Amino acid sequence: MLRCVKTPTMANDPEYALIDRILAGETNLYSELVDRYKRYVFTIALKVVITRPEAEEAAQDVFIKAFQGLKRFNRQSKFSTWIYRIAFNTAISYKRKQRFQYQSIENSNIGGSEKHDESLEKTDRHKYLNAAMSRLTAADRIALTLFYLDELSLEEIAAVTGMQANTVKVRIHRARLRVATELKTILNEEALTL
Amino acid sequence: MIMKITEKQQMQLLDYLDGAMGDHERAAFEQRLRTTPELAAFCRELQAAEASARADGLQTPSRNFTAIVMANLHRNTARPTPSVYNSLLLVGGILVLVALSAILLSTGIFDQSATIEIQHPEIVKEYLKAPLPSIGVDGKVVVNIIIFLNLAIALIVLDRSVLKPFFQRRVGPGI
Repeated sequence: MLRCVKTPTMANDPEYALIDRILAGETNLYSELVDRYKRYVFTIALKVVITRPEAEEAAQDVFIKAFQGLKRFNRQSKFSTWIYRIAFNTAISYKRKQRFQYQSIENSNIGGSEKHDESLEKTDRHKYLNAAMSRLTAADRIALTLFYLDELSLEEIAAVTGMQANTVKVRIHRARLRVATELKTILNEEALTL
Repeated sequence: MIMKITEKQQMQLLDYLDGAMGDHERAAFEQRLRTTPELAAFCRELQAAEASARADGLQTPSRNFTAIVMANLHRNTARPTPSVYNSLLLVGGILVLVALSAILLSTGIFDQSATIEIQHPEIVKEYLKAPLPSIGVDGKVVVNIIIFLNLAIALIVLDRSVLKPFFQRRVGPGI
């Protein structure tokens, strides 16, 4: 269900104490933040740039940028919202660099796991879902991904994607419907080629 | 006859799947699902897509991700390199310029040499005791230098903006 909850009191964010220690010179503690958020940041990057090597590079850049800009983190939002916003912007800038490179559905393994023991059905499901999602705008794709992860409120999703808070709900609704429709179209096309 | 699902019905469907309907509204919508096969079919498609998307979940980066980040915390993340497309345009433009210069050079248009006189009678009279030397300019040499510099710039642009990123991408991140 779409949540429209008020964000928790920022002063109580448990990460602030950790950030204070990192800023005081204990930089090795930053690895805790990296470990905590690397999957989220990597997922956001992957949804935008499509290919895993680029997403990995973009996600690494995100954490390096966040570390270098940690002093400027004004604590008006949760650390997670702040770093997801950096992830979104960094991934968009990577996407701009690669926009002239040809991307086919076949080689776009957005979110595609490389585990060899994965069943063919699961791999196909990933492939078709990713192809359907790739027809959305990057902002809608991220908004939808964050919505499905069920971690952020609508206001936080709006802050990450740079959308207006009052339009996020509508855009997520439309994106959900569009993905279902696109998925159906892709599956029909696949069925015809068999 | 195929019934088109209206936008309102689509929104109701999302509310239904999100559990955002009251009991009465939910019962009425379920009744409509039973009597409208197209709506029921779309509901199944939407549920399948949502289930797939939720199952997709979080993706995991490489095992040495954290180590790579920690080793590069003080690396400069600014990437002033232009896009591959812009770089190729620039290289193409330079090569066209070089080709035109080479053609003009071969026609002998730059074969003449000139002399630049930097003497100015009044300045010499007022400030300088000895006369200034004349500078001879060989047009062919100048154009050759311009061509060489342009080729060097083209090579640098090609290396920094096209070849280097391409091979780095092939090798993989963090290596």
